[in-house]
Amino acid sequence: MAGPNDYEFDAIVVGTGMAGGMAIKELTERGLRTLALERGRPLEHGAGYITEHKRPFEVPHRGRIPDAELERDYPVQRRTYALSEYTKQFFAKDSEHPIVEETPYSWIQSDVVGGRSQLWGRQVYRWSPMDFTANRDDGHGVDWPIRYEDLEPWYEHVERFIGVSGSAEGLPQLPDSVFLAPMEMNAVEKQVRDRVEAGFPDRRVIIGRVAVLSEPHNGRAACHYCGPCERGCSTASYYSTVGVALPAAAATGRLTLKANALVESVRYDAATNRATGVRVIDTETREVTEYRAKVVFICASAAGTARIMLNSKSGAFPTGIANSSDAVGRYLGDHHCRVGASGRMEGFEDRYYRGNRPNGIYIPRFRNIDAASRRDDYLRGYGFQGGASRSGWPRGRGMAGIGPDFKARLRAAGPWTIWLQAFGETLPNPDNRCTLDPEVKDAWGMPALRFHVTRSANDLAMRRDMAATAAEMLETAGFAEVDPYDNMDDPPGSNNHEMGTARMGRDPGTSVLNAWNQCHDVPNLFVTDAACMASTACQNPSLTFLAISARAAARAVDLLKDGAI
Amino acid sequence: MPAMALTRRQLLSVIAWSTGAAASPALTRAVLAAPVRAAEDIADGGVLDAGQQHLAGQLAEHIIPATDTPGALGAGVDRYIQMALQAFHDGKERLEYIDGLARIGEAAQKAFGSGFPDGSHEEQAALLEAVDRQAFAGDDSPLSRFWRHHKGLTLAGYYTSEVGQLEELRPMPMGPFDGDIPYAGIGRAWS
Repeated sequence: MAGPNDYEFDAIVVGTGMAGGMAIKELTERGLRTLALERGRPLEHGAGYITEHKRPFEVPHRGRIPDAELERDYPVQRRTYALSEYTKQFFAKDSEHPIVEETPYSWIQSDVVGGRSQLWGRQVYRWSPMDFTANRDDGHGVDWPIRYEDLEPWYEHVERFIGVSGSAEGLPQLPDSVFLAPMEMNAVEKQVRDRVEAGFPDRRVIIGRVAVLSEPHNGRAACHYCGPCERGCSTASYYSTVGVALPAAAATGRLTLKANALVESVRYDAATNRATGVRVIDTETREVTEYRAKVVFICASAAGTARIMLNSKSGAFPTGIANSSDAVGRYLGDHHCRVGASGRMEGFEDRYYRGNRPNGIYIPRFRNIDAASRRDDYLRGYGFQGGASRSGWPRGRGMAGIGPDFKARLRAAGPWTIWLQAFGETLPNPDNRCTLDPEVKDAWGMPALRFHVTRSANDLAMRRDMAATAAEMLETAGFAEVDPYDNMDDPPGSNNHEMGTARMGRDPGTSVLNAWNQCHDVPNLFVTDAACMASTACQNPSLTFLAISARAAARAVDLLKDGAI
Repeated sequence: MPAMALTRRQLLSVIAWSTGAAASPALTRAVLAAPVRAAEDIADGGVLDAGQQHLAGQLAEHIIPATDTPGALGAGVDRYIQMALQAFHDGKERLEYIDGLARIGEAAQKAFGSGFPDGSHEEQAALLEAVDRQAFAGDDSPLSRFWRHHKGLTLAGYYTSEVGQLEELRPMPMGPFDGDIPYAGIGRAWS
């Protein structure tokens, strides 16, 4: 029989993705009975990774989802590289979770415990002091209410937990993490590094920093380099909520996890000015249940969090809970990308590698980082990700020949190729936003999100430099057939780095969250996922909101102990 | 999806390859009078009929023959092509593939006076080498487009098969990562 303890908790965390997972782990470890609510399906570590290590001939369509199924169920999700026959079980179906694209936008949604921490690219980079002062210095957006120094101990705290492989470089624009051994570059990447660094003294080419274990860590085995982490990893060798954070939380005995739990709104008591809990729709039974807690963390992803907040209307908050600033849903930024260059390297036929390295190379930001690198055509900057490899059998599609000689040619490893893709910071723009659509709803009657995001003149100017610079570096490194690209047809959002929809700031009139990720308007309501970002930097955001989540969770526990919330 | 009717020309070309002879007026009338298989109807039994699947397999085997490892037929590429035509092609694309098979039949007729299956291995190989050369020299005729498409299907079907992944190429072992090692110690591509 259900007792009151089944509905009353110290803390509720909405969302079990990257941020939610860290909040759940920190809150439980610090003594709070915590209810973790996840919209998506259950996922069991190990047994749930049903395609792990499967070869193409072991799945019905050799890894590709049939066109009819893509069109019916995944018209938006199909735009991401991560969706395949091997991973579709982790994704939301657009047919159940529709979005409205006022302008072209790709909101890539998971629908599983662990969220996109199951699927993510695992690249982890600290943001730097200049990232936290950028808004103040050039006037775009609002000043962050924290500085790098506030986060530094929390970066270290989460890095020691998750395990980060990388190399210490001492770069001011890319502070070092606490590192496990770096992964090795291959022969062609080494030449890229040597020649680009020789030809461009302002640039570095480093191995990627990645949340994958290069050595055993905290009882988790090192990576065995099978390749596609996104299918799930039974050895928990990459960081994910299900593989790493939830076991730690469960070990405290203070975790209650409910999947298939769509949080429709946060409940608010105007008399006490507190969030009292959440209203949940069971996605299997459609039963509606309310859960109560002393503190609520919303970590439903930048857009997902905005959606819940906007849907939490009351007399005190007619436009959504904690939204007196009207900033919830606005300033939807991301990293613009799909721009860079590719090339082909002659030679190095005598070199190869063993293992599918789940990591690439990285070129840290070198634009607008000091007086010497100041540009007059755009603000902020970008970094490159990329990698070199030897081409495989698909190159045969473009080759003449049939018969034994042709087969023999495809048996051999092919020529070396490289790609570089830039990730660029976007400036905060209030008109880039998500709102609740007045008509379209998801399969459970909750309003769908409507997206409006356009690229700016700053983005476009930066992209011209990104493509030209990538090509220049590849030519310097000795590549032939260097081919710059700029795929502006790819809509915003598809790089999965959406941010900013409940931004931190010093002024409650223009921001949603204070320096501790508490809502200015509702002090026991916290937001620690990418919604909280006041700017986007150019480094991947996950490590930063992991640190922010841990810091805010510790603060929430202290505030509760002190009776302040 | 609306039913796709074969044109008269397509029907005639289908007749030509399956019989290996110019269609008689009586046969043509009979075939044209028969109900046309819509793309949806074809789906249940396989996009290609038995004869077409056999021909697709023969063409694939010429591209990737049995050597010290099985070739396309040993790897089930003809069955893969059936699956791919079903899953990844719309009605128009399926009919273009079938039409392409018929054009191979026409080319065989011209080259060695019979349907493709009835030619000797050398006759077949010489024909397909010529078709392949033309297709990869920038020619954009329907036959060249078919051949490039078929070659892509063949490679995908072969190199994602168990034969392709485990025998022809080397499966990547699980274990430590070695980023920069001699190719000589491995000698072939990882799958």
